[in-house]
Amino acid sequence: MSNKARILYSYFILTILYAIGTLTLPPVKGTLQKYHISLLHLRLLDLTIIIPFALIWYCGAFGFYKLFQYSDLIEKNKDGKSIKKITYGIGLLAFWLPVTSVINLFTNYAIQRLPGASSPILIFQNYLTLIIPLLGFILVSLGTRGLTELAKQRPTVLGINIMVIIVTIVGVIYVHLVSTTNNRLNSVYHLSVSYLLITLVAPYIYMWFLGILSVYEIYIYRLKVKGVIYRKSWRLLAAGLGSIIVVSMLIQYLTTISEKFDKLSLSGILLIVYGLLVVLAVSYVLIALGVNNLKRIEEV
Amino acid sequence: MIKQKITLFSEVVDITYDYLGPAADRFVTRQIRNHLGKSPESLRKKDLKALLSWIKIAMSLLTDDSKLVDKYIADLNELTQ
Repeated sequence: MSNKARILYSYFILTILYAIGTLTLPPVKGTLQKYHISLLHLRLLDLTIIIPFALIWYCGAFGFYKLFQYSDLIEKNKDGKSIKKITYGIGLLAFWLPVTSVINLFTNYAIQRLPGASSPILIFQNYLTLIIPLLGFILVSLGTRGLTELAKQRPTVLGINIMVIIVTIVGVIYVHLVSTTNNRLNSVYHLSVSYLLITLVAPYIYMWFLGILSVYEIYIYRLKVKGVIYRKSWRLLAAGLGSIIVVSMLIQYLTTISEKFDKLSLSGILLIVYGLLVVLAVSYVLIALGVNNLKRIEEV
Repeated sequence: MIKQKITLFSEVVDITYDYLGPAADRFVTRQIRNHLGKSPESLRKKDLKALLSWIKIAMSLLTDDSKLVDKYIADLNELTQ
């Protein structure tokens, strides 16, 4: 089976599973009363989520496939090895949302059927949601590091200081939000505070540091790499990669403090979800377009 | 003798690097193999004219900036002197 087929089949299987699960599994208890809607209304709302999800996931799979194609073309070269790592990292980020959405959908149903198993299932969900993007960010970071070495550039002292300040502020706010939300430790994490801080919060903050560092290194590479035409061709790809990393971080940030959203109206929640989805879709399209420019250099 | 041939190829790649960065080596290798039908190591001065024509065509497909292409070709032309 070709890589294209493998990526597209995975996408279709995940999308179909998600659609079936969303439309057939009974809603979480209290959902209909909470939002004052009927079951039919809820299913119609589900459709308005499934369709954009399917589109954004497709953009992700497509962007990943295009990047894969390009990295295959140049994999034996120095820049190719770094691009390959970035490609696998982006692949993990592209499939992170579909995989966790499908698994969470079915495991949430399992929680409804087996309330006694909720604790281990929720712990599993939390670690799965962490591990996939963490691996993705590590690979992207290794790749962007390789690219800056190739361009013989290093992040400046000022740049590193700004990054550390941003990550420290974001991290401290995150620790505050995670540890102060009422009942959060029991209802969401099912872990003791110290265990939670070391095994979930710290890896998330580490991951965001890698993300910010990667965006910075991509920016340096895009600005400093030799080759007028090559550099221009990198513009869209750099914008797409940077945007995916930032939006992925935002999604992680928002989903891990999701309990705060309980106070928002349904339209408010949908607005945030759609907004992030649109930016994410555009980012993957930028990757696909950017890759087209770079691929052309390798094909003429 | 072999050193001389490799040097000519390297010189073409060096100039190309300013335009195509890390893709330069691959680009020049491909032009030589596909259009001249020889290995990069066997590139000689007498091949340069034909190579430059192919490179000009290829570059026109990559950018609309004709001034940039002309400058690149002019840089490469110096190798023919």
